[in-house]
Amino acid sequence: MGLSYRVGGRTANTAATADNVGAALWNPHATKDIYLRELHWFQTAATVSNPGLVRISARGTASASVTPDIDNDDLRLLAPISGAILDITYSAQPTVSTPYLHRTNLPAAIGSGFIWVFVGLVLRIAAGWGIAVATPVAVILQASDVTVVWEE
Amino acid sequence: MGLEYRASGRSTANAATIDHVVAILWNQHATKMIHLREVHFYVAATGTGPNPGLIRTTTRGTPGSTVTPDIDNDALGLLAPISGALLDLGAYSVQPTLQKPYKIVTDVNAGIPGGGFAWVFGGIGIRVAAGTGVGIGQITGASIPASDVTMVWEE
Repeated sequence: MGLSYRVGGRTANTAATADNVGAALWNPHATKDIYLRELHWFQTAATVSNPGLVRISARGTASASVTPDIDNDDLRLLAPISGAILDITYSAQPTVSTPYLHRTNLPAAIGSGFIWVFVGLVLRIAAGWGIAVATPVAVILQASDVTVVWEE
Repeated sequence: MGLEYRASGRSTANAATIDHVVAILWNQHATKMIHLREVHFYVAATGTGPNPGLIRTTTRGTPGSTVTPDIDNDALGLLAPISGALLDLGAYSVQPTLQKPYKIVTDVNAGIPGGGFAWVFGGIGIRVAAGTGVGIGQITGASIPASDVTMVWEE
């Protein structure tokens, strides 16, 4: 078992375009894999949306990101060696690699959301790949508070 | 323990007919079995209270659409599913043959989108033999609206 990290941020609305990404955990390392343990997502607007979990093979251009440091280590020992970063807004969309891994539907209520926990064989994010919350349908993915927990 | 896969898609609204199928994880392999670990189900539109149930099927029927998992659906991103398992989604034009009784029955509030559940099967999960399927059917004559379905299995 490696070290456990967690980081959170607030996304912006996506466009009403299928496969637009709201947030992604991007692994920029050349060789090191990381493993997604949990994903938390809670809407800040009272509007229906359709979050889905999908892999991304290219990062796109993030206009806002959260860069984890030693404070994001559950044990506060070490900044993440992978350099993993939470992207939360985009000027150029990432490249999604379908099919989607997981989908859900959220009602028009502030605070609606979910916590996905991956047990056993967790979701591996290979070096140079990411995992994202996107909208599989052409409906705006609402601005939301997102938290990712991963191990490396 | 084998590799874990997850696949997801959206069904369309079913007819108001008892035992009509919403989504099936279909194991098309000739010999290899797979094990269902989780089912996630959330309605994506309003409707009257739907009553989904977990059911086995012995034939595939003709689904309205199909999600074909590939290497991206492997939790480790290493290998496409050897079983060739498919996520079939309703509404079906030809219904599968159900193998009753239902294994789980429930009731979902479809007054607002987002009503649903996540079933998690411990131990070795629910075995899906070669050439059979398992998934969600309508236990009453109440139509199930379009819904987001995710299946997690091991093989």
